[in-house]
Amino acid sequence: MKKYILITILVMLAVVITKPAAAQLETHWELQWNISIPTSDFKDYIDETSIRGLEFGGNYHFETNVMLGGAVGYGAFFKKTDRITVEYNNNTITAIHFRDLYSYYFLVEGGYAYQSDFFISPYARIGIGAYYTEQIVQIGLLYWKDESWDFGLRPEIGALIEVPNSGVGFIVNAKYNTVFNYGNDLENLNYLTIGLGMIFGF
Amino acid sequence: MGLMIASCSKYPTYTVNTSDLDMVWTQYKETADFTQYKTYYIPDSILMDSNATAEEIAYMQEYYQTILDKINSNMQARNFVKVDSSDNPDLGMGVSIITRTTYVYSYSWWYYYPGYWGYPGYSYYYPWGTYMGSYEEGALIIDLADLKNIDQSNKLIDALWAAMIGGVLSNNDGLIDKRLIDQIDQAFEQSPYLLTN
Repeated sequence: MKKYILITILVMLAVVITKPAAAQLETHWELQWNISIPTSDFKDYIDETSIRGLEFGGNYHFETNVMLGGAVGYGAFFKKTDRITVEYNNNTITAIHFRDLYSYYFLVEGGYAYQSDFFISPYARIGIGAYYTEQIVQIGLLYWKDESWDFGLRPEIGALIEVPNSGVGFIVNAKYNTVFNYGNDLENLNYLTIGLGMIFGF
Repeated sequence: MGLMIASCSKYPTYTVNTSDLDMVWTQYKETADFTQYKTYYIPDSILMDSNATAEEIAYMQEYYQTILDKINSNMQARNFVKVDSSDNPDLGMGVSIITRTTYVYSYSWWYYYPGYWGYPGYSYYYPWGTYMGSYEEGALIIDLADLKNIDQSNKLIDALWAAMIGGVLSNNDGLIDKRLIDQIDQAFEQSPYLLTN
C-alpha cells in the first residue's frame, strides 16, 4: 500500500514541479467503453468478462508531456452459477447463485504521454481514488446486498490516436484496478480493464 | 454509441427462470451422533399452513403419499427403521407445506408437532439457535426431532435436522409445485451425516 501511495505522490510532484515552466497545451476529454476481466480471487467469484463498463474523464497535457486529470466510471459484473452445494457451519444449501457486482470509481490521474511526430502518443498513467462497490448475491430465495467505499489504485498504459485536423481521436488502453481490503469474502477486488473510446479536444 | 448506451444498463446479463430459484436448505445439530438413533415415527398426515384453503389442501393431498414415500425410502436407505408412535421411536419426523407468501419460519409454527409424536404439551425447538430465515414463497419442510433425549423437566424436544425445500410457485393458485417434491432426495444427499448402523 505504501509503495502505491509513494508512486502516486511522485507523479503528483512531477506535475507540480514542471507546472511553472509548462504552459497548458490542451485538455483531452475521454469517453470510453470498458471491457473488464476479473482476476485473482475475484475471478473465483465471478469468472465472466464484463462488457458493461463506461467511463468519462479529462486530462490536461503539459509541455513536459506530463498529464493530470481524473476519471469517473463503472463496471458491472454478473455470474449465474450452476446449481451448487455450499456448506456453512451447520447449514448446507443447494441452489443456483446469482452474483452481481457493480464497481463505481472516482479517480485522480497523473501520467506521462510520449509526444512523437507521428499521430499516435503512447502513454502511462496511474489513477488513485475511491471505489464504491455494490455486491448482490441471490442464492435460491435468499438475497443479500452489500455496499462499501474503499480506496483503490489503477495503473494504466495505452495510446492516444489523433485523427489529424479533426479535433477528435481515439484511445485504447489497458488498466488494472485494485480495490484494497474490499472484504465480503474477497480480500482485494482486482480486475483488468481494456478501454476503447474517443477523445475530444485535440 | 449504441454499444455505449447498452453499457449503462444495470440489469444482469443472465436470464432467470422460475425453477432457477429453487433451493434445498438443510441444518443439523452439530453435536448430534446419529448412530445412537435407530427407529423413527412419521405421521401419515402433512401439516399445511393455516392460510391454505380446503381446495388447496385437497390438491396437496394427492402428493402426500409421494412425499412420505420419498422420505421413508431415504430414511431406510440410511438404516433407520420406521415404527409406530406407540413403539417408543427414537426420532420423530414432521412434514409441513407452506403455500402462501410472506410466511416467517418461527417456533410457533411447530406447536403441533409434539402432539403428533405423542408428547402433547411439549415444545419443539431448534437447538442451533437460528431459524432458516424468512421467505416469501412456497416451501416443503421436513423436521427430525430427538425423542430419545427429551428434556422432561422443561418439556423440550430438540430438533436434530431440518430441511427446507423452497421455490417460487409457478402456478397461479399458490399451490406448491411437484417440482419441489422432486428435490426431497437432494435434502438427504447433502446430509451424509444422517446415517445409523
